[in-house]
Order: sequence, then structure tokens, then C-alpha cells
Amino acid sequence: MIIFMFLVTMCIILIIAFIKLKGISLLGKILLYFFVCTMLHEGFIIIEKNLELIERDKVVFKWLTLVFYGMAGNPVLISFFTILIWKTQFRVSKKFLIFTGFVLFLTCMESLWKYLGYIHYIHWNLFYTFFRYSSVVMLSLIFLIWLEKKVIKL
Amino acid sequence: MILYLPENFDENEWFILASMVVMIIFLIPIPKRLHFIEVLSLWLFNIFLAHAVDYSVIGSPINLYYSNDTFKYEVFDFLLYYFLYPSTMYLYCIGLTSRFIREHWFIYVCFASILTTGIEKIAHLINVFTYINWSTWYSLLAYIVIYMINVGFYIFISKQVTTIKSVKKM
Repeated sequence: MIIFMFLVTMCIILIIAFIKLKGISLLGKILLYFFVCTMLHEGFIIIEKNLELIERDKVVFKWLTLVFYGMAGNPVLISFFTILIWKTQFRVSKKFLIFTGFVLFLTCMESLWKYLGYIHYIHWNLFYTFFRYSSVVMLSLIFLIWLEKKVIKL
Repeated sequence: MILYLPENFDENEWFILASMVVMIIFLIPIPKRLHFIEVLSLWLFNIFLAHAVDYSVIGSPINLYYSNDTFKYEVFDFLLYYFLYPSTMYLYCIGLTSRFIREHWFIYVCFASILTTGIEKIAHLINVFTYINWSTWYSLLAYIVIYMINVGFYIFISKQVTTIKSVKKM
């Protein structure tokens, strides 16, 4: 229960920060969020159901906590950092460092869920998680660049 | 396997293919009343909705239903998520561009929900959906909620697009 309450509080703070983030329109932020959510869910469903590499714990409370994290925590965090990476005026090497650090952070978050017993790895490891999150962030960066061009043409 | 092929290519797969053909026939002659960004938003939003519901429900402790032959994610599930659900909502939102329908939006929501529930009932009878702890009446309620969310979302994005356009003109 404490974990869930902490998660809810963090997610609310994160969502408010995401909405207040400058540099991109609200429509762009929402579209990016939907895109990231779709990518994450698509990947997770394939990994969990079809490839059977990961298993979510079947306890209802743990399941719902993960669903909440998968809907509100993870995608908002990824969208937030994608916009930060794209919009900040750093050099490419520094952006790459931020990207790597951020993907490592996401991997650590997932390892925390594993440690708490919410996710069970069957034939999976943290390197694959790192690789999965890197691809999601890369794809969302490409989507954001494309979306900005479309919004400019509006 | 990343995406499973159907176990048996029978009536449920034919139903999905036939629905796709009917949808394409409906979509082609319709004048393009929505902006590309609006279409993209509706498409992404409805893929997100379908994914979010199935991510929470299928295979979970609260097992409600599954689509097509197995619990696995099949090629025909992919077609449902990425083409059939979003295109239905796109057609629905094109209706919302008419002023008369916008004024009577609740009747429109109820009509669309009853129609979709009827189609889902047929789909259920030919095994596109297999209910475990679910019933058609729940679907009716769920569709009313989903259509209302779509009305709200459509109004929101059309306002956003108008705002962006007016800011650019200044």
C-alpha cells in the first residue's frame, strides 16, 4: 500500500511537470504520450504473452500497481525525457550521455519491480530491458521530430 | 513467435477481413473533413485505448474476455487494434463535424453504442470475442463511455488545432 501511495504521488507530480513543460504544444505532448504508451504496451504484450520471457505477478493488487505504473508512470517519464533530450540546447555528445543515463534509470526502475516481486524474469535480463527502453526512446524521438514538422506545416 | 498466426483460418478471421473491406469501402468516398493531425490523434488515441484495456484485462487475475482463437497476441488482433477500432472511431468523429449531430450528441452516442454492441454480438457469436466474465450488456455500457470519451477528445483536439492555426496566422 505504501508503494502504491508513493507511486501515485510521484505520478501526479510527474504529470503536472509534464503538462507544464515548455517548448512543445499540449497536443504534441499528448500525441507523444499515446505513441510511447502504444510502443510500451505492444512490446510488453509480445514479450509477456507470445514470447513468454517475462511474467507479471498474478496478485490483483500487484497487477493493478503495475498497470498504473505502465499507464501513468513509465510513459509520462519517457515522454518527459524525450522532450528534454530533443529541446535542450546541448551538444550531441552531452545529449547522448543524458539519453544513456535516462535509459539506465528506467532499467533500474524495472529492476526495482523485479526485486519487489511484481515482475518475474523467465528468459529475460536487464540488458534486454536496457535495449528495449533504448529502442522505445529512440522511436519516440523520431516520432517527436516528425510530429514537430507536421505541426509546423499546420 | 512474435505474432501468432490463427490456429484455424475460419469464420472469425473471415469476419475481420470482411469488416476491413466494408470499412475501406465506407472510408474511400467520404470527403476529408478532418485535418491530418486530428486523424492521427484519433487513430493513436484509439489504439492506446484498446491496448490499455487489453493490457489491464487479458491474462490478468480479472480475466474478462479474449479475442480470436487464443489468449496470445495474433496477427488478426493486430489488425483489430491498428485498423478496425481506430477507423470505426474516425468514421464516428466525421459524423461529429456536422452541426446537427453535435447539437444532438447524446442521441448520436447512444445510437453508435447500440449499433457497435450489435456488431460485437455478431462477432461474439462467430468467436471473434470469447467472453469469460463478460456480457454484451457490459459492452453496451463500455461503448457508451468510450464514445463519450471520444466526443470529448475530438472537441479537445479540434480546439487545439484551431488554437495552433490562429497563433501561426498572427
